[in-house]
Parts: sequence; C-alpha cells; structure tokens
Amino acid sequence: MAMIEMFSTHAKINDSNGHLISWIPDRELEVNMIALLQSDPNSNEESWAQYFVSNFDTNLLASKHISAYLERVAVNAAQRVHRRLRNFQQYTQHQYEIFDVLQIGLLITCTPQRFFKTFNQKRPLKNFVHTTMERKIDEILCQQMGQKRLSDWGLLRYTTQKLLQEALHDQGYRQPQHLLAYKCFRAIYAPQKTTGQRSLQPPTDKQLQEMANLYNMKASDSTADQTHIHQLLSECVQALRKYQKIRIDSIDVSGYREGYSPHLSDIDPLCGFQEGSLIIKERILLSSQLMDSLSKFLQQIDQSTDNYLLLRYGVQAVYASIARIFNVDGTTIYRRCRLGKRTLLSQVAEWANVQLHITASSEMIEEMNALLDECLIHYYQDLTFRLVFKQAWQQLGQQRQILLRLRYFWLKNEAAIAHELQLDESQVRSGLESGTQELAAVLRNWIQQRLTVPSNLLNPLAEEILDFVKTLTAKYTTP
Amino acid sequence: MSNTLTALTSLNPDQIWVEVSLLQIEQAVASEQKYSYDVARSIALNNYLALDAFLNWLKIESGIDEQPKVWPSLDSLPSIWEFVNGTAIDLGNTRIVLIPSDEIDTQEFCVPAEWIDIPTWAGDYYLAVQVNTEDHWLRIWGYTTHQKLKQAGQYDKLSYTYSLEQDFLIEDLNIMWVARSQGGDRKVALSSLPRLSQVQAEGLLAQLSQKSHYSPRLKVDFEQWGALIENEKWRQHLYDQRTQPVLVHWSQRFENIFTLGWQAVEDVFAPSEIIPVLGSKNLEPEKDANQKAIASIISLLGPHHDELLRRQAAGVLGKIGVGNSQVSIALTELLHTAREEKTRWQAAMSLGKVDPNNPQAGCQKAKLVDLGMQLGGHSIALIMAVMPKSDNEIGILLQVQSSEVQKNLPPGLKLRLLSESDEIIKEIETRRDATGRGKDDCIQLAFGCSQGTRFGIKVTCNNASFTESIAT
Repeated sequence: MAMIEMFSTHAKINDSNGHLISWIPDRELEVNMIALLQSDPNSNEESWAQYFVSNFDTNLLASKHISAYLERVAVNAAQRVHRRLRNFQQYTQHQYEIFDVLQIGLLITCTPQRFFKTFNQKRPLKNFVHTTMERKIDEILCQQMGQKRLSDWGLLRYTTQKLLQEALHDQGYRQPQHLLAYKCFRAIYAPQKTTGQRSLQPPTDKQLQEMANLYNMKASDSTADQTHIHQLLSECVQALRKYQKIRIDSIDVSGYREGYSPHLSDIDPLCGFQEGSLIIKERILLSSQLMDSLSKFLQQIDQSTDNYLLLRYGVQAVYASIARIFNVDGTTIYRRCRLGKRTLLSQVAEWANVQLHITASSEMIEEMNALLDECLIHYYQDLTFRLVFKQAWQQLGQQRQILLRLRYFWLKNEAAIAHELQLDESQVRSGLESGTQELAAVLRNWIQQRLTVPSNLLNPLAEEILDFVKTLTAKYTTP
Repeated sequence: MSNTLTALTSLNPDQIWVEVSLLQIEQAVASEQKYSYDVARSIALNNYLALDAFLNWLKIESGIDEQPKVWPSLDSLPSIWEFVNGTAIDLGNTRIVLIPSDEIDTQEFCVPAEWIDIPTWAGDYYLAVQVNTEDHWLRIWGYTTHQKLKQAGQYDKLSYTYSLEQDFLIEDLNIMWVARSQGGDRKVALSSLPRLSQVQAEGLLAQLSQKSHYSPRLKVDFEQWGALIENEKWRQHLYDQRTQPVLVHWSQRFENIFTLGWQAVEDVFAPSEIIPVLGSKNLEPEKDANQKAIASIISLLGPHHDELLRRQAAGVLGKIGVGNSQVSIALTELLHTAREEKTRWQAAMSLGKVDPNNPQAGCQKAKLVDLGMQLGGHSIALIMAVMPKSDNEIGILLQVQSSEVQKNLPPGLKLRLLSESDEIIKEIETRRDATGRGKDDCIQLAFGCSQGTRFGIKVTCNNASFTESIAT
C-alpha cells in the first residue's frame, strides 16, 4: 500500500481538515502501479524509482509516477528547510511561510527531466533526490534573498549566462546575437560603486560603443552600433524579468512525442531493470560491510563529537540548534562535526582502498559520503531504538502501536485510520497524540541524560524529536 | 556573524560561509588602483576578498596543517588579475584554484581556459566562490576537478571559458580533502602550447599593450594568448605596459622641471661616436636595411653581452630607432635587466628619444655653464637627466662635461648637490694629472628623490660658481 501511495498520490496543501498536507490519489497512476506491483511484488522503493527515471523520457506515465514520488520528497525537504530558516526569519527581509517553501518544492517536481539531468543511474537514487531537492530549494531561497534592490542593469550584470540563456529561450529568442551582446557587456561593463550596490547605472555611450566594437570583432560580417547593442541588452533584461515570474509547466504537454506513449505495463518491467537491481544489491552488501566497520570507528570517537553526531544525524538538528544546547558558538559545532565526519570519511575511503582495491576519485568519495550519511543516520537511529525506543514502544499498548504504525508507516490519514479500525476520528487523533508525545518524552529524557544538559535546552528541538519518533516508528517497529 | 548570514548558513550548512567586513572591502578597493580597465578592477576586488577569506578559513577552520603558497607569488597576482579571473594556491603538490564571481544565481560555474589548458597553470581542484559585497559575505558553494571541467565542461570559444552546471559541482569540501589524500583525482594530460619566438612575442606585446576597455585575451586566439601569458616575464611586461598611465604624466612633469635655458643635449654637444652598423656606413639606410640594423643591435642588448656593449647599443638605438615599437620594448626590457645603473640610465634616455610617451622613458637636457674667465677657455655644460623609478620616485643624474669633443674638464671643478636650504648633500671634484692638467672628461652625481623635492645644483671653479635651483 505504501508503495502504491508513494508513486501515485499528489500533495494537497492545507486541506479542509486543517492538515498541512494531505495526499490525494491519482486513479490512473494507482491502477498502473497496482499492475506493476503484481508483475514484480518484491521490488522496493529504490528499484521502482530507478525504473521510472529510466523510462520517463519516452513514457508519460513514468514521468507522472516519478513526479508524484518527488512531491513526497519535496514536502519533506520543504519542511526541513523551513524549520532551519524559521529560527532566523525575524532577521531577514524575506519572510517565508511553510506554504511558500512548499510551493517552491512542488514547483521543482513539475520538471522531473530537469531535476534528474545530472543523475547518474549507477548511483543510489534516493540519496540523490533528497540531497538535490533540499539543495534546489535552498538555492532558490538564497537567490530570492539576493535579488532585492536590483535595477535592470544590475539584474543583467549579476545573472549567470546560463540563466540568461534559459530566459531567452523561454521568450523565444534562439539566435546567438543576444548572448554575444551579453558577453561583450560582461567583458566591458563593471560596477562603478565598489561598495557593492547592486542597483547599477546604465552603460555609458562610450562603453556601448566599445561593446559594439568587440561584438563586431567577434561576430562575422557584423556592423552593430551602440544603439543595436543597447537594444539587444534591453531585450535580455526583459527576458530575465519575465522569466523571474513563477510558471508551472504541465507535465501533460511537455516533451513527449505524439503517438508514442505506451502504457507502462506494456513495457517489459525487467527491461533495463535487472542492471539497476544488481547495483542496488551490490550497494546493500557494501552498506552492511561498511556499517560493521563504521560501528567500530564510531566507538572510538570522543564523547562530545559523538553527541554532536547523534543530534545531527539521529535527531536531524541544525548546527545552530546544537550550539545553543551546549552554549557554544555555532562554528565550534560546525567545525567539530565536519572534522569528525572527515575523519570517518577518510577511514571509509581507506577501507574501500584496502577491501575493494579502488583509489577513489572525488565522485566516488562523494558517493561514499552519501553512503556514510545514510550509515550515520542508520547507526544513530538504530542506537536510539535499541537503547531506549524499543522498550518505550512496547509499553505503549497494542492499540496505540497500531495507530502509530498506520499513521507513520502506512501514511494513512486520520479519517482512513478511523474507517479501517471502526473508530471515531477523535479517538484516533487522541491516541496518535498521546502515543507520539509519550515516546517523544522518553526520547527527550534519554537525550538529555546522555548529553548531561538541562532539559529546557532541548526545547528548540521539540519538533525534531517528534519527527524522530515518526521516523523510528516507520523504520524500526514491526506490526 | 550577521543574522542574515546566519539564516543563509542554516540553509546550506555544508557550504563554507565567510563574513566580509567593510574594512576588508575597503582594503580590497584600495588595491584596485593597479588595473587599467573597470572589469579588471572588479575581478581584482573579488579575487582579493576570496583569497583573503579562503586563506583565513584554511588556517583557522579547515583542520589542514599544510602551509599554502599563493602561485606564482602575491606580488604577481595583479599581473594575472589584469587579464583573467582566478587565483591559484598551492598546498603541497595540490593546486587549488579559486574562481570568484559576484552573480546572484549559481546556475553555472565558469572557469577561464587559462586555468585548465595552460599546463603550468592547470589546477587539481577548482572552488566556486560567490562574492556578495553588498551583504558582506562570500561562500564556497562547491568544487570540481580538472578532469570534470575538461571532460564535461561546455567550452565557449568566444570567451575562452569552460562552464559546468551547478549540479555537477560537489558541495562538501570534506570530500575534496579526502579525495586529495587518496590521490584518485588526476588531471587530464595536456599538450604544450605552441612556443612563441621572441619576435612573435614582441609583436603580440606591442599589439596587446594598447589600452583597451576589456581584457586583451579576447583580441587574439587562445593558443597564442596562452603561450604569451604563460611566460612570466612577458606577462609582467604586458601588465606594466597597460597599467602605468600615471607615469605618462611624469614625462610632462619632466618638461616642467627644465626651465628656461635648458636645451636638447644634441643642441649643446657635437654628436657622439656611434657603433658602425654591420656593413653599412650610411646612417640613413633604406627602411628594410634599417630594420635589419635595428634587429642586429637589439640582439646586443641581451644579458649575456658585456655591459658596456649593451650600453653602447642602447645609445645607438636611441638614435636610429625613433618610433620603432620593437626598440621601445627592447629598451624597456633593458631597464629591468641592466646590471649597472649607467646602463639603466642609457636605456631610459634612449627610450625617451624613441618613445617619448613611454611611461618609463627618461628625459635629459643640457645647459651651458658660464663661469667667465675662470674656466680658461673651457666651455662646459651641465646635463641633467631624469628617469622614473616607481610610482612617486624619480632618479636624477647630474653631469658636467666639456661641451667640446674630447676635451677634459679643468682640475678643481666641483659639482655640488644642495638641499633646499643650500646645505651640501653631495659633492664631486675633477682631478689633475701629473702635469697639473685636468684628468676627467666628465663628473657626475646620481640620486633619487620623490616628486615635489626641491634641490640646488652648484658648479664651482676657483671662485666662480654657477647655481641652478630645481623643483621636481
């Protein structure tokens, strides 16, 4: 059921029941997914995601499935990003509600081809989507924060060629003269105010003439003058301004050849799939070997670093929040965590060198880093589960266990749970609330004792701890 | 850390964020004066800030103990930033190239081809640095390798750059440090750039030293450009040529030093002996023969020749090379490579004739000195030569010699350098031989001073004296 929902539901923001997100099934995708699962019931989330990515260029349904999948990733990423940003909102000029960040995330899911452009199918997809989604949301927010106070010429001066190229293409400009004019502009025009004001004055006549001279030198048979250059550059600015407005490209109209969209179940489900499975199996083996070694490495690190890593990878707290708990500067935590992580990564690389006989390049180390992140998350989650959560879970009672699993593992909403269990919705809500809070309290108590800090210092991590409860419930509890 | 920067850091915790103070920006701005066009100044500002921030971060935050070394040297950086964006730092055997930019979006990472295709410049790792002087921060938002740029980068043949999309960069520098220790990142093998002959180089230097509002790298094809800029001497020379407009004012200033009565040296003295040109006694040869003569004399300026020969050759070039750009380049080169101050003077004086507007050209004038009957029939001249030394310094050479050919000065003639308050700073006197006659054909004093200095020159013989006040 979870697999079907993962690839066939769409996010609805702020539903009528007051939930931030509810998941609305897409019937077409649901039917297709059921058929696919029947053909291969044992494949997991990673396998199916890889399969859809392999086929989305030629099959509209594959594109829709992966887009639906990305929506879940986007919602999680947006919530994490907003949580990080929330602590500093009062100091920034731009105020972002969770809905704003969700909108940005969901916008990114509309163009899966673009999202997966740099994805290497030999690598784990899940890591890629989570890291990339968060990074893309971060960059859009960073960019928006930086775009204040931009004059037309400031916008042109401070935009990359790639972004301009996209904007020109979007506005139907296909000839090379605009880009050439832009290159000449960038070669000659520089901000006069060295204090860094981004609202820049127009280029002077003399500068425009120089640009025209350079343009004519670089273009064959050209006799452009300063007026022509000015016009080309103005069109560039207009294209950028229009491109800044948010648009949504419908998946149904973009990029597919007419008359060629076979139903996904008509495609041999194992076509191109077996290779993906082998890579995943190999990776699973690698992970388990790595986990064994990693556990030994982690037992050797100092207590402080161990605590920081627990908060960072287990509880998923940001550096600034961790710093407040220990009453130290954020850069201290940042430095300790990064150095600790680097030591571990070096050990992983050495291990790979010895065990697998590979001399790792940057790309391979990046892959190991992603694997290490997964392993660290798994290590600290597993540690927490074994040391404290398991016992607390067993003390919850069967009914609340069932409620929590239906909610956090099966991802059913309260209405669906109430219907399934023949209960009142308010009973479901109450059971979920009390169960979650009880487990959160146990976790919090344990973290506080482990870190030996006053309880009130963990207040800023309240939401992270609740999320931790949900994650542990979904991943580690059994029916 | 400012609150806005803290907010941004929380968005991208794996990137390196550095706060930049107003003082740092002002210091960077102050260093902008050494560039000849606006974009170069902007490049220098960004690179200055990026380098400063990175070196500090490396020292304090990175956990890396090795000492970084700016390549080729801190002093050479202006001669790079005048032409191309980027700064290289050597850490042991690893070269890290910082590529700063001030664009707001980070959709692509753009690296000038110099840092990739010139074998002695190529880096191992390239760091993408975003500079925001308005909000006072910069960040390293990712890195990539030489191999990645060379194999996956989009090459722009108009602007000579390689570009990678943002997603191809690796965000976490921890990965770079570990990869470096593993040695798995190898540079793509590069073939050498075509060698430039001295003549070709001089031609390019002459062409590219003409001031322009954009980098001269865009004026020629990349192979030639790369070969030129890879040579440190040529690159420095090109930078010097392009960036010393203030010294043009020096030549005008020199004219102001010489008040009424000072004349061109040639008007006071008979022409001096010149080295015969190969096979030709005609001093006004046809143009081609003149070019050959010039070329052969230029070759005598080489550092492996005797210093006297070099000096004499410079003197000849001052006469036959007027308006010749190759002579101008060769004499400028001699200014830097001369082993003796006398040679430097000769080079500066000849340059003053060949290329009067050259910022390194010197100037000399002469004045006949009237000491009445005391000179016993001798006619003497005072020569003052002025030569630029650095931004605010000038060199001055004072000579007294007979205005008649091959005639010695009378014995006991003194040349004095006086301060503004008439105190003697330096003095030199002519000698007498065994018969009591004058032994020296010339006496001179040389010194340096800063612009705005006032001094006096006094020539005395027995009880007669001649004094000249000079204001620089």
